[in-house]
Amino acid sequence: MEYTSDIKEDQLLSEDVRDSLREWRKDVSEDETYSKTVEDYKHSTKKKMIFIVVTLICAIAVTIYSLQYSPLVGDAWETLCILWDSLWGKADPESSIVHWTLYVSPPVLGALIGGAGLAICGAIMQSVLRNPMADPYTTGISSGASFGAALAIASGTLLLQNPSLIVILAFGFSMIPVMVILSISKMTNASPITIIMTGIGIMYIFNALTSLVKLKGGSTAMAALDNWLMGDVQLVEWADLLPMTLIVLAGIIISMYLAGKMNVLATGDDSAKALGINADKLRIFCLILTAIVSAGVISFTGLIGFVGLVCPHIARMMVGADNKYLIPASAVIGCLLMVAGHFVGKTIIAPTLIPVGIIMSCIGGPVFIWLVMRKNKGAW
Amino acid sequence: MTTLDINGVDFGYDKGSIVLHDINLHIDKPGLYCILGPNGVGKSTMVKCVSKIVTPLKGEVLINGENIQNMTHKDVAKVVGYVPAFSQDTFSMSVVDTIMIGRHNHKRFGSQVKDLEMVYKAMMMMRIVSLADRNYNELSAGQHQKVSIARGIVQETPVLILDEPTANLDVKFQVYVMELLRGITEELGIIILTICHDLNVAAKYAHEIIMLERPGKIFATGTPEEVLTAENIEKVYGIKCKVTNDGEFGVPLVILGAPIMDNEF
Repeated sequence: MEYTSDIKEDQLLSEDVRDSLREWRKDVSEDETYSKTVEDYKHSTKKKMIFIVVTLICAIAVTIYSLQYSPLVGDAWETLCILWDSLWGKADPESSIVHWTLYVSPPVLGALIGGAGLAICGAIMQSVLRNPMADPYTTGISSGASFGAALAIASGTLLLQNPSLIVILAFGFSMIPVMVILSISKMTNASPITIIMTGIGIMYIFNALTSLVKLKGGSTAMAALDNWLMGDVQLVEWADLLPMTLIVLAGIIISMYLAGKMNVLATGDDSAKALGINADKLRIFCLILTAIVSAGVISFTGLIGFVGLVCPHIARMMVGADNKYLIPASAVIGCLLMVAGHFVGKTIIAPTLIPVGIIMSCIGGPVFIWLVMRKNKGAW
Repeated sequence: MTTLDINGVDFGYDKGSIVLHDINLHIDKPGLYCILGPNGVGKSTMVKCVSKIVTPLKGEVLINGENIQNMTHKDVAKVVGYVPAFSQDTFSMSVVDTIMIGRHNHKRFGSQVKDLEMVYKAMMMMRIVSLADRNYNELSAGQHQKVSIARGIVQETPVLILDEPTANLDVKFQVYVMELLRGITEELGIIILTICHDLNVAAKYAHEIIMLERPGKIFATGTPEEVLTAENIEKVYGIKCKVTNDGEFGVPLVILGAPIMDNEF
């Protein structure tokens, strides 16, 4: 079994192939085409960064505008100056308290943080499950949380003694789908289709159980439950902001650290394993992470749909599918959409307040259909 | 010099249905090794065992004498590169970013310039520099294939596995890719294992051929002249043929005749 392995003697290799092989050894740093390719690449990276920064600035601007907005007519600029001064202890303490209580409402900050959290969950789930429909709904997490909230609200007497029972039960029950998916994955495998199918199965079970609780619950309790199911950041209180912020920040930091690995996983399990990634383990870890973050948000805000689904798609159109940019872009788009949605909800037919969940679904539905129509044009 | 040994490997996806039976192979020098065999014979499964994508039921795969089952996925990825037959990129990135994924195990802080250089060279090799900033999903199936091969090349592993690298390529690029892979093994001194369906392309460019037969056994290994005989092809593929010499490079030329149909087809 002897053969020619000397490139110089191999008659089968054409001059074109020899040229290509010489390119491999060549120093290309002075090459004009190489410089242009690098320049184009850096330019596209810069464009993505600019998009993220500009969207973040817009989100902050809308937040500030939304914070100072009040049905009580006042000078917006003066309000902002007092709030700013009070941060540094320069403002009159009494006036500080009045302004913070009146204008800086936890719901606006809750919308900002919650939007970022739900959007990164959608981005991570869609990427690791390689499914454009993946979000906390299709993995059963939201349905678990709904059932938890329904139980808490239906047991009204307990609720009066401990208002945070909704949060505790919603969070606890939203972890059940993850545990079921984990167990089933151990028995079969953790392929994307197994996870989505299991999630949808769990979603139906929990929806049925929630309906059962509704049947048995009183009308007052059911009104409260409907309010929760509509998704309303008005439910967020000062004490809720710290845990929400910590959970969402941790989610962003961990997912950014894993972004490179998620990119590899998105190319397929076989190719990811061949590139040194334990595909099943990474997918399960990401699923647990998104379950904690999304449960950490919806337990406080109630069910808010479409943010997790739509924001990653908008982000993908703007910055592409590279998770290093997709995750922060989704987060800032989530912030902007939620804060804007909340602002629209409280102003459009003021003084009646429309829950942000309803606004998001009204905006999200048409946007989603538009995205589906764009699919054939290579949107994903 | 890298060595690859497959010792007595059996593999099955379900209990009771064994896909590979007692596979034994020893490769101790660089070259282009083409795996041939009919559909469903276990060619892809065999290369998946080598890259630790699946675990054999029995037997062992050794790279440089070390059992890959005792190595982490990351360590295996440093010595064995793998390019699947089909890419599953649901959400696609630009061509540069897609090829850059192949550099995953080389990435260090501040290594982007070196990575970009390797990606550029691989794009030059595959003649796809003009596609650099295009979105992967916008490309044709043949262009996907070129990007996938480039992603395999930038991994810089001493063993590179390509599952049907010439699928979807036009005839010019089928020949170019096989010639290039042969050249790479000689220039870089690496082992390339590739699954191939075109007997004549394999006959011309493979240094050695590994022919599998049903049910998942190695039928013959050796140079194209040794393995690609009319008798072997008829027995393994169930097709009549004539094998002559191409008259230019002295490699076998297979002229296919009538298939011998049986219930298995």
